[in-house]
Amino acid sequence: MLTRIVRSFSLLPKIITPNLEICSTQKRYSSFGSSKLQGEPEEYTKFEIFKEPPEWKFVERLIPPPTVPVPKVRDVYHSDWVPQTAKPGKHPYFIERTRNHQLPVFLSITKRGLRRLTYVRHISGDIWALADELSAHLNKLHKRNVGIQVDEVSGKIVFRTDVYSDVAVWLLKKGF
Amino acid sequence: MSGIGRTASEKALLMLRSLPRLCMQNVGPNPHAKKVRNSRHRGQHGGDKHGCGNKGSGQRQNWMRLGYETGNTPFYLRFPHEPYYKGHHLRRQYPPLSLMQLQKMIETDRLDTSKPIDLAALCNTGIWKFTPELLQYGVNLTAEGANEFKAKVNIEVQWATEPVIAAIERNGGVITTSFYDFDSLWIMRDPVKFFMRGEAIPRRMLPPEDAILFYTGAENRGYLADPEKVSWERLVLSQKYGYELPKIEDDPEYEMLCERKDPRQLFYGLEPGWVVNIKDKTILKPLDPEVKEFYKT
Repeated sequence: MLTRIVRSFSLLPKIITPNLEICSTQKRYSSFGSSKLQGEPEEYTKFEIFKEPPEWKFVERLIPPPTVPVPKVRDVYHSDWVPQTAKPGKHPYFIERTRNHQLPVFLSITKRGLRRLTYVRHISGDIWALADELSAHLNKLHKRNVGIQVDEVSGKIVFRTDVYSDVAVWLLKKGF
Repeated sequence: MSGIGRTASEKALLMLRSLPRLCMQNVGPNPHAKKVRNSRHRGQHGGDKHGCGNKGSGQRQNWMRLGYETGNTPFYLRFPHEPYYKGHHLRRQYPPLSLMQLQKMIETDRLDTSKPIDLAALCNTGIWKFTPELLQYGVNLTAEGANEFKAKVNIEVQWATEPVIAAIERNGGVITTSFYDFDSLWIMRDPVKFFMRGEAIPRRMLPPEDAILFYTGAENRGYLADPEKVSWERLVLSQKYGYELPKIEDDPEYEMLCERKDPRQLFYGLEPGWVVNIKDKTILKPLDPEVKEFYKT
């Protein structure tokens, strides 16, 4: 059976290659980079190449810095940001700024605003001394015992209310 | 202008001049030309329905109550709504950035005030970002912290209000509001990524119809406004808010403060149609006059 089919095919005349211009379907490439060259490169539009032209400074403007820049020291600060003045060793504890040079104090609001936790992170040194001082300050301010959790391993203190601004003001006053 | 001594045809023509143009709506029979038969039919037609039809409320003279829509919920009982947010999913958004945040970015050296600040510079800080796929068309500079704002900047934003413009111009700065089309927004968000693709910088499209008025307005410092009108509005605003307008001409950073983009330009100093090669530090500029003409217009 199979041999008969093969024979019948061999008897057929040779298939003529079709005209590509008529039969070719349009192909859409996913991007400019992955598309094939269309025609000879000589047919492409002419262009000139400039190695580091005077306009290159405008390109350099658009390249972001690879790391977060260290802020220069200024005489006056008009925003609510101030640089860290406290050096390690001044207090028994030290609080490092975040990578963006901000205070590592965060407020998390969950359970539709019912659960508010204030985090102080990046604490090194005597974390218990800081917890005692902060807790005494906040208890005096709020006239009640503010819930506190000290995580010595990860250098983190969590308060069980929204005391974000109180903690931030206290830390900035200390120079952190 | 009395009609004394005029012929009837002249009067008619005079009247015709003040009348609306003749059309199908105006054409109709003369009054009382049509005879309306009020009485009942007579003779062999006396036993007919007398114009009241066969069956239904017409024949029985028990018409529906006023407002009844035969089974539909009547218009006065339908769910009342006032579609303020109609088409909100198609409207342009401008995520906010306050003047206080801008001041903070400048003081933490995230932004360089010795160069003009635009959308690309803001995105390159890594702190502020926007998502074009949510139809966010750039930055809305808000007035929070306007009193404390003390930086001299040449800033280009997409939306700004009067107090913001006043706060920036009071400190000797310059503000422009400019529009970026959807495709340009992606490029402004990450210019380096765009250069890596090896494509020619496209030309910026003009704002849509509903944004034209904002971006051509000198009071909004629009990028399509007349520069002379803008300088006049600067003076007007300084008098309204009561501050002395600093002279930009005498400023040592005059060159920087005068840097502006062409309405077709995406980046400062780089023309549309150029290809930037970051790796080899080269710029490829087209030579074909037709291509040049295309990118210019």
